[in-house]
Amino acid sequence: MSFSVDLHVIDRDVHLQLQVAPGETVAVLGPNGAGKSTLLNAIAGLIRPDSGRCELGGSILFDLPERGTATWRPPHQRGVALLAQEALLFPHLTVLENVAFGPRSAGIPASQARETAAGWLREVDAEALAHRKPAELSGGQAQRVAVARALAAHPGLLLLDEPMAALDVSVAPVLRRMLRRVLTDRSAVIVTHDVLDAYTLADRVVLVEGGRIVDEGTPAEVFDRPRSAFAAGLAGLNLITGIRRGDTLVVDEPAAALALTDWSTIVEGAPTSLAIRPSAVTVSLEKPVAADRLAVQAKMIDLEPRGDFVRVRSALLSADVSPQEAAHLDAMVGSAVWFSFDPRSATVY
Amino acid sequence: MIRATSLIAAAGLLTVALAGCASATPAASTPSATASAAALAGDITVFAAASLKSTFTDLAESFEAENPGTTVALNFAGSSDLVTQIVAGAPADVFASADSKNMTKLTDAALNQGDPVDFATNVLEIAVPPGNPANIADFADLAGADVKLVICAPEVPCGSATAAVATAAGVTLTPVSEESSVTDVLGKVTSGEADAGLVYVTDVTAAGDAVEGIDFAESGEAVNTYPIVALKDAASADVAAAFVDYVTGSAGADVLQAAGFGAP
Amino acid sequence: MARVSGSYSGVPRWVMILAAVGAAFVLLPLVAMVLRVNWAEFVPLITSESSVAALLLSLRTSLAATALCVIFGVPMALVLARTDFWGQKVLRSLVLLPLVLPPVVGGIALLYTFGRRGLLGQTFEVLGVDIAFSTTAVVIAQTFVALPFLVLSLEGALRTVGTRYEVIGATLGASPTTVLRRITLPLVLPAVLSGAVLSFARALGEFGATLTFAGSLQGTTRTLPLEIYLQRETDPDTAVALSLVLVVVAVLIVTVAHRTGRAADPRAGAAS
Repeated sequence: MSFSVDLHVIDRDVHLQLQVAPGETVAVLGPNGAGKSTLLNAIAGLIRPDSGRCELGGSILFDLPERGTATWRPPHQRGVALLAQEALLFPHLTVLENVAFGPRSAGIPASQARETAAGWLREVDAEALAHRKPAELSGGQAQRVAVARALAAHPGLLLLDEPMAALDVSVAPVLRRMLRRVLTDRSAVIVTHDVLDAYTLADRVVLVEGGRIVDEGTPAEVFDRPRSAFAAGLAGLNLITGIRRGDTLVVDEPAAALALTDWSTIVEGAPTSLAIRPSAVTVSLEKPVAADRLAVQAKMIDLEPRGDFVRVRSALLSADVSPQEAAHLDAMVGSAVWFSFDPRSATVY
Repeated sequence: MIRATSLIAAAGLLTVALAGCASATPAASTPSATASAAALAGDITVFAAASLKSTFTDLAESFEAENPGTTVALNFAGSSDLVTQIVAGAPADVFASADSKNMTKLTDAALNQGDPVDFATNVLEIAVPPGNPANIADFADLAGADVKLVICAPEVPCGSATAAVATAAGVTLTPVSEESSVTDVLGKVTSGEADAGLVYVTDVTAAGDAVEGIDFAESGEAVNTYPIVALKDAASADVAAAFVDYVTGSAGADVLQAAGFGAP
Repeated sequence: MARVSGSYSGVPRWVMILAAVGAAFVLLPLVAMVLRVNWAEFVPLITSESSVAALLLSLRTSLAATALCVIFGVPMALVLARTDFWGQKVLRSLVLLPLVLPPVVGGIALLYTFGRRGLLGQTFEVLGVDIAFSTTAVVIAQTFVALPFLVLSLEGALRTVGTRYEVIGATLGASPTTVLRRITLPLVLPAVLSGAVLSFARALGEFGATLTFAGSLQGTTRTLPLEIYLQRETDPDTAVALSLVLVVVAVLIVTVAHRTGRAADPRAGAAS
């Protein structure tokens, strides 16, 4: 079913619009407090925006015009299923009864509902858990059952609110693979902080910041060519923005000038972005001599250990170096060093 | 067994406690007329049946006025409750009961100082709400099918009186409620819940305009006699004796009869 | 739940002493009463016609009152816990009023409402229903004093459980009634049961309101407490014997219900 929503919540300063084509999965990413939860709660019918309109498969979920009669469907009549960080399985029912809850609430007789439930449990590889109680399940198992329960309710739209956030790092991939399978032909909106979720599960990505949509597109579009510092951060990319002046990318803040050769379609004077992976940037105390490398000088702000590499940060660029190199650089924090990279490994747009 | 020992211990303790409050009095234990010579002084506590409330309050006031230096503290409750408390050691100096049965419990326990004296009688009267909605005229009307009659339970003095009167009149009563105290019976009549109730003459008098009273012939069949006695181990024995005399004397008689009590 | 013996409880010794004193304060009067029972005459005393009538009446009316408490108390608790409207705090205080009101005052208030000359009295008389002096009056009096116990116990539990599960149920397509039936009530069932038990115990022991409002007639309105009150005028032995019966019945009911409440706890998983 196709879906569209347009909502405005005044006291949270949220003004968002979203469309989901039939069978499409849209990932919504944004910093905390950006309005993502408000969006999901409004679609599900748990909070009431000040104005807006929402439609799913032709039926109006809510219509709150500035003037005129308001329409508001209660949550249980919307056909929108919500999956939260916590599985929230009903503690007093078995796994099978939990999954059968949706069908039974729709009036389907108990035995038939249980069969449907068993089918969905098979789909999420949780068949063996059918007769256990939620208290006996691990986080990952519970979340799988929660997915089955949401799907068994035959929703027109599935909402997922950071479904992997509460799970162990080792358990999340299994759930992600399963979600990828079940979301294939389903309309869904998934709120997440994890770019991997966006890449794996989403057909489209929407970035929300400060209650507004700041970027939209396929995961590749949004993350390979980030248009904001936040997006770049999510994608794990360095982002330098400036203006083309001749063959130089002139950056205002911090002041820098980068000489580039491949300008593709960017015209003189146009705003330009350059994105490069920190792993492709090297740091040195002396200006590198190699001609094919682009080098800029910048003041080192800090060193951040990140497992088996260390990220060297400056106002302009970050570079990933080995711990040994980081040890050498440690004494130089606060002074200017040279960041260099091969311009061919950067994306300019 | 347990009762006697604890009783004596309690009474002993209480006497010692009270001795501190009471001023020294002459050890005379013979009751003498209050009018004469030595000024009485002391405090006494009188346990009296609930139906004696207004009369004894007046009598206590006038007694205190005539005998400055004395105070009379009053405790009103159902006679059987009072006896139970006294037997368990409550600090009473005088006991006035609504019937002889409860007084006998006291004398059986040998707690009296001297013999009980009857000082008043009371008979039953029919009480109806103002306007007499059920049109009760005599005792037989109380057994009417639609009459909501409230009486005392047989276990209490006014209840046994009711039973005696009913037998004498040859009427079988079918009350809607049998209360544990005559006050509750009166209450049901004054609130209009009951069409009629059997209470004492004194209750009707005391209730004033709240009820109408209907006398009936058979009331004489069950006369409640009220005895009074001073108690042993009274802190101010002479004041106690004096009060008993006061009540049984002319002053008491006037007040009691004005309230509707009969002569003993 | 298995308790590992020897594990550290962390309760200071002086707290234990105070607790013991408190327990003794409650238990000693019971012991004193039991010692006064005339055991030789016990069985004849409690099987007399008036005693049996009083006990059966008490059980019947208390059960009816408890049922009414559940029927009206559960919705009241739900509204107080789940909704928000102006004046709710005031309403909650008023609803809990029977807890602090002296029962006799409660009885008088009921009289002013349902009595012949009461607020609703005329209406009932027209309908041909006579409330005063009837067993119905006893049930009304008992419900009046026992209702707050259920409401209080349940409202607390509802707030603790929270609305998260109910919200999920709604998004899965369950109507509010279905959510109530399949999610809310099963989750608070222990609180409903314990509240019902408290209400039953309160109804069983109710005296002042019954006396004032319903009157006292064997088999119709003379419940066990009223019978005890009457018997103590003439026969203290019977009064004590019946009091013991009342205590035993109350203890039995509370114990049984406590066990059932435990067994019904939906959150008991294999781990605990």
